[in-house]
Amino acid sequence: MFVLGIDTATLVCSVAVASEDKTVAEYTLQVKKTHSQRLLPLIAALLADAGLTPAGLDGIAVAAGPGSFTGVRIGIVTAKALGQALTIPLCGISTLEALAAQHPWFDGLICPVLDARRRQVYTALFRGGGGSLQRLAEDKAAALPAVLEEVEAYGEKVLFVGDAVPVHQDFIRGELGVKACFMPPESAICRAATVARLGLEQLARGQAASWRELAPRYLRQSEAEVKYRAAHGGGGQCL
Amino acid sequence: MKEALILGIETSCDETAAAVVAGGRQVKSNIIASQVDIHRKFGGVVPEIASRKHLELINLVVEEALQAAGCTLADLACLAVTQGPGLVGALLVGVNTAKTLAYATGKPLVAVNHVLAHVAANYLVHDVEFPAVCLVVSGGHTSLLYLAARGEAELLASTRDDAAGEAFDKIARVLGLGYPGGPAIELAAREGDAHAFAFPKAFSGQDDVLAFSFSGLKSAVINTVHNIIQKGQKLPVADVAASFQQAVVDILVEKTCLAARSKGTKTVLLAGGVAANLLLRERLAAALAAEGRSLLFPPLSLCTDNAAMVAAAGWDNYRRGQFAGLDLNADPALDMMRH
Ligand SMILES: [Zn+2]
Repeated sequence: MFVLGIDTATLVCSVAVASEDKTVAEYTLQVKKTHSQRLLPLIAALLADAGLTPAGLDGIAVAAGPGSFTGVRIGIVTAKALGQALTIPLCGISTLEALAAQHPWFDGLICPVLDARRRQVYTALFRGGGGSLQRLAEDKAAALPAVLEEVEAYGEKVLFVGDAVPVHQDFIRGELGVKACFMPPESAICRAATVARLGLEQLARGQAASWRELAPRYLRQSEAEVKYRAAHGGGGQCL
Repeated sequence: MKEALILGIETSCDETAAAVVAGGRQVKSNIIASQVDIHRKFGGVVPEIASRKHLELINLVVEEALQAAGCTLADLACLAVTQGPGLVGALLVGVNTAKTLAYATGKPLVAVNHVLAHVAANYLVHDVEFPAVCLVVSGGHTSLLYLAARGEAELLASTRDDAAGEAFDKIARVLGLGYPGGPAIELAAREGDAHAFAFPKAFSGQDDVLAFSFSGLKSAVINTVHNIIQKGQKLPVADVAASFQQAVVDILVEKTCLAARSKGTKTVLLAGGVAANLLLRERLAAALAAEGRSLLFPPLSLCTDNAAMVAAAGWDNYRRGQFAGLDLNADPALDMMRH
């Protein structure tokens, strides 16, 4: 079974093909060129190098957010169109879970943090160790000091991964001291190989979606909706 | 090749659309999911909301277009998509959907300029005699084109500031008529006196007599409205709407006739959302008829944004073998002459 993994939720553009027992191929870019231009040529090259055609895929796993609205959309749009054209199942994977899932043997808390602008991060909380991941908190947008306060209460070692780490590393260390752990850059970004593996696990559990159901997880309304609801007192539902 | 089926995809603004057209001429299906009701409460299109809505709708609209045409992706000769101009986030949804569908099915892809797609709406319903001049007028564009043949367009003039449709939207907001402004102004103007106010229409660029400008007119209307309100008088909404519409139509008719005269074309095409305006159609047809020229325009349903016109324009690229690569990107400010 071959699953294509896609992640374009942050500045990283990553694609991979995985089967049950291995990562067949993976390309990861972190360069300033739009995902819209990069993603499909990368997928075409990846599948060609893996000796596969699109029709040879059994499923698509995509980082469904949170992340940059536009970046998330490019990944989801591509996954949905592939799912529609090839009539194969789709798996939407939390970008934060994919970040944490690279470190199942880390004995402590794992706190992915992605830049969410407006002085916030997208974050979640997991416990690693023993080769599997346990989710402790749902994906959300929050201010970093509040997030650090929350994780500090556990009194455990905390591994921070994600694109907000390089920006805030000194602040995090200042707050948590030696309890704060960091990974080298290549292990702190989202990788499509992990997205594909989580997709394979979802497929095995029979949890995949169709192209009709797959939806992005923005975690946030657009600015216009926020302002409109502030002015008109709306119910806070996404349109 | 004559009957080649092309799937068109359009997401440049607030309509999510897909259509199947045979031979660049025969509309097999034309599906449009409009978001206008969603954006109305914001008084205009909100780009992020439009992008989200396009993503929700695009695959369903594609499926419906294929079903209504009685074909599958495998039956297509080619896919065509609007590359620009338009809202970048909105365009990205269409562009990435189209190129992914093309890649997954091994079909060729062509990129279409949205303004030229509006022009091509005419080819779906008329046997156009070339050469011709075309006025494309909508919320986003006001352009005059010279068409030597189908698919061969040369830009003669465009607007230096607002598009005509944009001016309609702004004045409709000032008059409290709601969004979208074009139909709202047209409706209000029916009860008004078009000669109640003499708004300025004269604009001729020193070097470019065909160029449009609506900012002077817009400011004049807004100043008039503010003066009336300041004096505590009742705002004659219908009269202002009628006089404003009259001025816009005068400008459009004058420049279009000038273009047809200078290029010596017998045929003039009208295209774009503002082509739905009845006064514009009538006045332009009459002015051209007086000079022995004829005016063609598409039916209302093909004037506003749709994907049948994208497939029609795409057919011109397809038969010339002008295909797009997998690295095709949305271009919100796409220049007409790059096609
Ligand atoms: Zn348009």
